[in-house]
Amino acid sequence: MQEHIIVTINQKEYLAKPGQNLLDLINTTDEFVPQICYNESLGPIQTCDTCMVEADHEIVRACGTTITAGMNVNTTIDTTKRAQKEALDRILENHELYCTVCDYNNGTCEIHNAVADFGLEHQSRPFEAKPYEVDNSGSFYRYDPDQCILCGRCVEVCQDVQVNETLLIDWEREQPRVVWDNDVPIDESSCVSCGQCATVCPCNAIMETSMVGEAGYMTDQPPGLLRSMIDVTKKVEAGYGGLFAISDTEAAMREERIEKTKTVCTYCGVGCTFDVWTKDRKILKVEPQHDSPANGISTCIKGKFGWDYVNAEERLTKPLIRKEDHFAEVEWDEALNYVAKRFNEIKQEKGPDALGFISSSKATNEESYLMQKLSRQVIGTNNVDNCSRYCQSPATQGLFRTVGHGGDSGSIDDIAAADMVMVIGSNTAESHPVIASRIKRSHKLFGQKLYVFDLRKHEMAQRADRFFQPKSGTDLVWLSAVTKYIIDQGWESKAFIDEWVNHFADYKESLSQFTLEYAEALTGISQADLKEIAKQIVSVDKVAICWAMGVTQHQLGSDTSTAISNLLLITGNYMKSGAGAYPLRGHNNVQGCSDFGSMPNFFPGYEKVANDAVRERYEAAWNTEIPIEPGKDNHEMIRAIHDGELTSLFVIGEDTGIVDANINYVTDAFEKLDFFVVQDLFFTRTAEFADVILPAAPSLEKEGTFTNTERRIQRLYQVLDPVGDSKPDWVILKEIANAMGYNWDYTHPSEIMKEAASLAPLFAGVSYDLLEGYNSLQWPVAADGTDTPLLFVDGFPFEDNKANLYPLEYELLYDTDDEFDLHVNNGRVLEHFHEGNMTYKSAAITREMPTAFIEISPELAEERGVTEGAEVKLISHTGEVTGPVHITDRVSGKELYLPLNSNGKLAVNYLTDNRVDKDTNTPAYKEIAVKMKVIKKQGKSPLPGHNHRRGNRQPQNGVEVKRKWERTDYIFPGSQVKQNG
Amino acid sequence: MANPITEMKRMEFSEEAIEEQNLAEVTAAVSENKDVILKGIDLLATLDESGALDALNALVKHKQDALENVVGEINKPQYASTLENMSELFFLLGDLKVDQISYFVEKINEGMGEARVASKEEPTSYMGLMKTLKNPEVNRSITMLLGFLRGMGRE
Repeated sequence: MQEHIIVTINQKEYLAKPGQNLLDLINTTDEFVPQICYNESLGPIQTCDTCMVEADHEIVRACGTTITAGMNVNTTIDTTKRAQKEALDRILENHELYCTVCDYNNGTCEIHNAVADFGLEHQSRPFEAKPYEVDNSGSFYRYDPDQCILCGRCVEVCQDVQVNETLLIDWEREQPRVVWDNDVPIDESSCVSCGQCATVCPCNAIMETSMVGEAGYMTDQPPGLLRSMIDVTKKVEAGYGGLFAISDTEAAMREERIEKTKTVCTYCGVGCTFDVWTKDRKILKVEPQHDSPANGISTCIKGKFGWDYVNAEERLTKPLIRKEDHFAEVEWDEALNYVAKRFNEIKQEKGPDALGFISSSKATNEESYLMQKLSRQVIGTNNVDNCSRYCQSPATQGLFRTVGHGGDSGSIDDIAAADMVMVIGSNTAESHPVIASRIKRSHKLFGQKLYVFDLRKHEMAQRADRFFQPKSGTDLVWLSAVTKYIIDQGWESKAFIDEWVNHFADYKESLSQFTLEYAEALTGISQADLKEIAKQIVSVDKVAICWAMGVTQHQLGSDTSTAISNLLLITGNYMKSGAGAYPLRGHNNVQGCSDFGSMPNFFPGYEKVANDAVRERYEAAWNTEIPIEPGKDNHEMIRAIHDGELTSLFVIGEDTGIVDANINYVTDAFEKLDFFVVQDLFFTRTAEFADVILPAAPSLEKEGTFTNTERRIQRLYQVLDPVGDSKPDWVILKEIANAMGYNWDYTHPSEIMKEAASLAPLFAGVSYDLLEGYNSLQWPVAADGTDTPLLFVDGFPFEDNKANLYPLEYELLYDTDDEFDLHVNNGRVLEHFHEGNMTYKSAAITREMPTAFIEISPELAEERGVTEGAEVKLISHTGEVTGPVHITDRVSGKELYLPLNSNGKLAVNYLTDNRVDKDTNTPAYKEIAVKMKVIKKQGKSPLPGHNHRRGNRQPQNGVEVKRKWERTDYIFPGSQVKQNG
Repeated sequence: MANPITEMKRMEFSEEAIEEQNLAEVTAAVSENKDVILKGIDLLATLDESGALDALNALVKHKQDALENVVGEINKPQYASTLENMSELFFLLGDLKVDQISYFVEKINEGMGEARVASKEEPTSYMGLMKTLKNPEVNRSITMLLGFLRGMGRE
């Protein structure tokens, strides 16, 4: 039973939760109190002073008051009303109401609404302009100090939600304003353009530049005329009532042409959801919602501003067929019939296993399902895989071995709630920015311990309580040594192991190799530090471990992921919220693409192809025979092409010729294919080798579902019509199947999901009805629709309901040597995604980061005699790249970092080779030794002067409203009305 | 065997083909919306007959000039009080009690009609004035005006 207390508001009694915020309580009743700075996602900020109420005979800010039993509250008596009015008057001195010609007049302006709801008719004191210019320096949003009411929401979100710590209010200057860093223009600051300040701004002070002059019917005017119109508007509309009547009508008219459609972000695996505002095909803005399950009001630069690719001129608009020396556009019928004919011919001549299919982690669950159905039903081969082979298969493997489900143990909320987060081989702040923000917030405000293990001193490492730099590829060793030390000390979670874990004795035995001495020698982490890590882990209740490509893209990627899970089992960090394993999935739907069966050994829901009962279920449903043998994965397909076994390949939404390892080897394979179909938005490097290129539609132009890193299935709705003759992937797949003589009659993705749910027990209860709007489901989903935010609460999905410890061995398989003496680390940057096919289409993002580069340490720069902007060539055993140098202490010694956002001469996969994780064939992208040749000793820095990395963060706790109250000219409105009698 | 190709030839459509395609789309739209289109034509014809179509056309073409002229003009100081009065008057109208006003307006109209036909030659003497007070019509007027004065002076 939850405790309740009684609070009286305006003579009526209400039940409230102990510790509840008073304004929060008032907002659940029919009582009205004006409020502007308060936002349910941010909590009380206490800057606007409008929510004045009387509580137990004192005038207080409701948002700054915690309720107590028997509290007596009055919101309507004269003194509170006058205090509220005084506060609103102060706001209107700071904000000019010219709503009809304001781009923010869309029915959601919180100043407009507060003043209208309060019924304020006249301004007591005139608006006064501030002595500051509008800051139009940034590419993504602009700040108008004249419209800013200094509510500080933007500061709060920047300091304590995004935790980038760029914005603050300088309360001490005569005219306070929001400043960036140490008072520099937005463009030159440390701002990472996550856009959350614009999202939470209650008015038009901080607004997306894409909205300016676009949203209103009368807002796109030259500045002089706009000023005159503002003045006239104000003269004509003397009372606010009249002003609002006109501006509300105009706002209602805007609804006619501005569409707001929910979608799911198509970049990383966080799975942010938001409304996209469009006017015809123009994207006005992206508006995340309080109810967005994964992200709330958060976004990153790409999700908030990176949508230009959808309307890019380079979009493919018609199918293309190879003709001698060029590709020629053709009509769909011709392309489909040609594909069907060639697939059939090759199947007849060489058998179904001569064809291979690669699904896209960018495409929807339904499209992954249809791709594997095309492969298995129509062609009759299990040669189907997806891009998780390049990144996350080892994590899935490690979890299958130990706990049975290949997904995050809980939700992002659980990561935020952990007592301790360990981040291993993950540049979270750049690769999964919104998850990073949750960790940064818990670390900054709630005492969460953050331990980071990485080669590179990225932002998470800079913020960590402890940062360790184990030698590349040795994470398994320190993880196992820490686990062994915990067991040796008798600190393991005995009760948990007894009840829930198998093979403890064997596992303990297998750890003998991993002594502290051995670990210190291999990893470079001192024995004292290893002990300290162990002690820290067992000293808290809830440990969550997040990991990514720094762990998986090694020859021992699966084993290292297993070691992580072993450690969590030994310490009892499963089966409870705030704990567990969190492999951070890299693409929007890398989780779902595997979940829905685009894997050579699994049907949808990870049921084995080799399992007779399962296979028969699909054979019966699809009226076909499916081979018992698992098919080839991506890596094996490329090798099979070289071996002449595989002669046809169909790739959807993946620039394999750039992102696969050892791309010279991969593109050589493409040249050997008899028939190659590429389905994409753009004419990619991979497409250059195709026989047929099919124009696909991106997420904004179709419906379907994505599954994020939390196993969360979320619906996307169609925002725009497909460009030209392009089509959603599911439609194309259906038409190929039908051209090959099948009768797939899906008319909407919901029907595809229904079929998948009927066949895969993991998704038994998934239906579009349960996924309406911002609703979501985390698999497994039982037939009655019950989902599973936290895995393993009732045990582990093995026959005996218990998890398994998995013994491991270690051997150092990769190292630099005297000739190839530099180690190349590689990965993402915040601004770009993957190879950059989408993000380079945004001029504003490209301006932030125009090119990839080679990060080298100051020591190495000095040793080789190069300075910022020098040009160097890196040569590995397999290939070479050339590019400009950026010198930074994020890397140290002989370690280099190469962002993977290059599809030109700096593409990292010219350097990578064919070494793979031994268990999953995931390329060991992170194991590259190179030598460096200096081409030019100096040059222009590849990182623009205004890039956020050159900024100067100003950490503080929120908006620091006390500094406002300490100003000599500040009088609490409650005191003022009492003084004035 | 397929070498990489970077050249793409877009499908070229003759102008006639594009025109034909466009016409087909328009014809389909017209056919689907026959009634609305006919009403629209009727509206256009009416506007044209009244000469409004030409004026509207010119105004839309020069909307930026027009807006600048109008806004620039009415934003001048000499209009400020007019604009403010306009909105004040608007609020004033709301305060007036229209049913009562119409009663008074009726009476005033009667009075004005009488005043026009009254002889302008003959001056009214003091005694004449006193005598007129006995006239029930005049007396009603005086009583009404006294009532008005009472109400107006009320605080």
